Amino acid sequence: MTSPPPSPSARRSRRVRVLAAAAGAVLLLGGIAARRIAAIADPASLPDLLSVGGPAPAFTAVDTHGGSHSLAGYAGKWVVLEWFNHGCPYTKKHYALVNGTGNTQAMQREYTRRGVVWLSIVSSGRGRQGYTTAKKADDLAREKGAAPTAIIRDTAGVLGRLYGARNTPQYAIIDPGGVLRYAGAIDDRRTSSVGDIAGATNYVRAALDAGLAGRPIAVAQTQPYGCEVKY
Amino acid sequence: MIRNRILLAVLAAAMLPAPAPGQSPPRPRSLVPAAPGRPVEVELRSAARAVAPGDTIPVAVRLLPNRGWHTYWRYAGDVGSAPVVTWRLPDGFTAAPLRWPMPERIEAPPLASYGYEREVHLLGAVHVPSSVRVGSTAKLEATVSWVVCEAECVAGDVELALAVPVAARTVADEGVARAFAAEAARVPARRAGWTFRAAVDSGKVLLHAYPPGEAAIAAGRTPPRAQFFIDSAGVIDHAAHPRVRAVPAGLELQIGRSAFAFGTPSRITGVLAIDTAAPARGGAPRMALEVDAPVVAMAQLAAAAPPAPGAAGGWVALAAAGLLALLGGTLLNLMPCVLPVLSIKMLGIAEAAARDGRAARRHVAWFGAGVLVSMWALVGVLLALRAAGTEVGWGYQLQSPVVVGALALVLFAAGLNLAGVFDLVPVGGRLSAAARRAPRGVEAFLGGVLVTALATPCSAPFLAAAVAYAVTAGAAESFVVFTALGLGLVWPLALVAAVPRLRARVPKPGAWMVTLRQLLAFPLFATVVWLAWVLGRETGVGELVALLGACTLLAFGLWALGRFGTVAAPARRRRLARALAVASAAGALALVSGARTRGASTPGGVQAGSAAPASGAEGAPAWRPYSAELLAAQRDRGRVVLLDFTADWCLTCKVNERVALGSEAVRAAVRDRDVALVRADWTTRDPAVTRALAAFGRSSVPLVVVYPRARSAAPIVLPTLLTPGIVAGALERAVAPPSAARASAASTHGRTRPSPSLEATP
Repeated sequence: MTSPPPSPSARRSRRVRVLAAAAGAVLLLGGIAARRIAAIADPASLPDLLSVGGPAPAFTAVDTHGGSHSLAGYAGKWVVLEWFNHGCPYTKKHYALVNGTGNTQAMQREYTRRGVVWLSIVSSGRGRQGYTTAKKADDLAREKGAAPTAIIRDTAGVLGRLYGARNTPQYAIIDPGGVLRYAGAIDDRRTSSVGDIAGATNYVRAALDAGLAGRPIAVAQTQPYGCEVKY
Repeated sequence: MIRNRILLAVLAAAMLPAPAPGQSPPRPRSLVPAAPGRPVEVELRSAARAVAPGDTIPVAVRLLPNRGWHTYWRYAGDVGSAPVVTWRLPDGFTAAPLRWPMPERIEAPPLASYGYEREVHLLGAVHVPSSVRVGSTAKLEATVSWVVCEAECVAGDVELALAVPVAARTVADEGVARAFAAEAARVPARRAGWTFRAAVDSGKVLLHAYPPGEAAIAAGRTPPRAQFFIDSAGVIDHAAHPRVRAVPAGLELQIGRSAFAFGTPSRITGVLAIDTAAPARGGAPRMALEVDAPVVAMAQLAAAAPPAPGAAGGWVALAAAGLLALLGGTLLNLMPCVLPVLSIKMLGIAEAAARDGRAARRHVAWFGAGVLVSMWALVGVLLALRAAGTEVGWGYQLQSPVVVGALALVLFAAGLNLAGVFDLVPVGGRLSAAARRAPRGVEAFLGGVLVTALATPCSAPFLAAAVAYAVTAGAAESFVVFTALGLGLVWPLALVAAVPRLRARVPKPGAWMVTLRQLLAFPLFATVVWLAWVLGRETGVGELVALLGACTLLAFGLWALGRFGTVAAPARRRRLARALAVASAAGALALVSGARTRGASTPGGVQAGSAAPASGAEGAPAWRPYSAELLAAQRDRGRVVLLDFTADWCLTCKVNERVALGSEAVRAAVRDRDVALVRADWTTRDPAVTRALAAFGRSSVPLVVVYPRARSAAPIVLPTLLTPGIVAGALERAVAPPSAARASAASTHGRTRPSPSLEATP
């Protein structure tokens, strides 16, 4: 009432500043809120923890005949790593002979014929269940009609730990570029019954079929099941 | 004859290798003892010595592993697998699913499994048909596939059989019944009132458990010990111990994510074990609950159950919710539901601007007060309803037909006022001195109330999260959020009133204002029509006609007021006109106050017609009313589900349905991708729909969700305002396999799923 009115230009500039500050605040709030909304709007966009999709750890391993297998040496080929334990009921389920062949043996035959390198790995420590001599391992494989590219005795558990093998059976699939493309269970029926093989979704077959055909692998990671690896 | 049979059976039993002595009904091969290569004893037991036709035999599979070995729960965790019981029963007999007692954690780092090192009874029941002859024998056979592990695992099958004589009366085996009862006490319960929600990100799984009475577990500062036994693979790290903390509404468990996690599950199920008291005297009493938690986004979980205020996170959540409310309130001004009343506000501004800055500011202040006071009233009612245990949400007041009817009458009166039928000012003879000085203030205040009442049924962008927070948070938080909401609704108007330059933009008053004023009555009448339609849908033709009658009565009273109630009229006539107006208003209110939600009182034929609104022309896919079972069934069949939460009183919903969901693009996508259409109608109060909304952290409509074909994928929550492109895009993503959103065209799963025809809607 008593103070003199400010000059018109001063009033205008003050008003401009206030408006600019208000506009800035609104934009900031909008940004914060939009981020929140984006998270709410699409839960499916949350990132998954995937070890697949990255480079597969390099290794060189010696098989039951003394042959050497290095991942680098298999560049250009699909490589399957299969953890097994001949004493484990879940390994037995997938090696059980039904009409002359077993689930795993059939996969080994089919995919090695299609150029896939199939390494069957025993990571059992010395004196632990599943541990065998090289000769015994070969005898058991012959008895069951197994047909992997090679059997590797990972007695020190190096290969198993490198790939985080926890169960038997468990699989890792590596593409020709050395990228880990699948990790996990053989299929979706987490039981020890042979009768559950028919009708199960075989993730390993699905991944290999898709990969060999150049299609994306639909299910790239699953929780494996079975016995624990006896490191 | 019965006696003879029992005698024969006893003789037969005597010839078998000695069963336990003193058991009168013999059980041939009901027990397979442990042996080399079989480190477990397996037995089929019955708690009935004899069973009557039509009755049920309590049965159990008893597993006793050798010392050091263990059997498994219904989900085994990292190692092993559950025993499988396959029944072979006589014709007409049926077996109930097994009930699994609480498992123990069996740890072998880095692995952990769920199982039993103790003797366990897997409880079942076999129903005997009433057609069975008394005197016959019920022969129950089962194959039990077992897996037991210590460091190693062994698996096998055993064949078991049990014979129970059929007698006139069921005779219990007390000893066995006691053993079953002891085990039954360890079976987790599905307790009423508990709600669960979960959220998942790359590193962790959060599980929230809200008890029915808040004091039940959250009492005390130290959170109770708790464990979660999940029953599906690839979600949590089984070996991780959950980090437990109390949140205001209950309990939060933070559990590490599985290293093999792939995609996001849509639900998390399992068993939650909570130690209900401090272990003062040895073992603490344990509570075990079956959990079925929908998976929501992290932000929603945080918004719905904020950490205690005072903690930094609490203030952050509150501030975020407040900001969202402010922003949402601002946008609410532009939503279809508030637009009709916007006309009142425009007029108010024009009139106020015609005078001076002070008058304009006073007008806005009154208007703002109207908005805020009604917001606070709304909070009060909401809190009271919540305290009474009613499931409520945003816009809940329009679920009551009486409120809808009353609102329609108020709007109708406001429309008549604008149209010039009557004027509030001259009536102010008896109003207080303050009101007489500022009669425009009263009008502005009422305008604010009206805007609030109409704004609440709609949700706006940003608003859903804020309101969800407010509805579930404490009283103080609700108050803050709703105040922010009101301020958001008011500030654009305040800005116009406060800034002289903006006010100057408003056209100068003149004769055009009378025209505009009268013209603006029509949007209000249109709103009345909408509310009448809502009322009709909620109730029936009878109530709709009652509302129309009430409108006529009210119009008569107000006309009398306008015609004879002017200050120029003699006092007696003026009094009479006022009395007539009040009486007609009361009569009109009485007419609509009798309205009840359909089903409660109107058995009329309207019911069937609108229960399942057949949408559109032939060939258009039909919407089916929501139920949790329907949703689950459709998902089980591998169908993408489009779920529309809606209400007739929600104009935004109706706009979405017309513009986006009903568009040709969306219809084509629905046909091509074999999408199941499910509609959750919240027009009237429906606890099932309220719960389904809560599962998404919402308490308001609209909400449109797409459930992808892959069950492991989380539902896609669409934005508040839809376009055909948004919906079609979401449907496109929903059919893609979870891994490859980019390369959806080629998946290994069958894209050529046959398109099942839609079942006829009843």
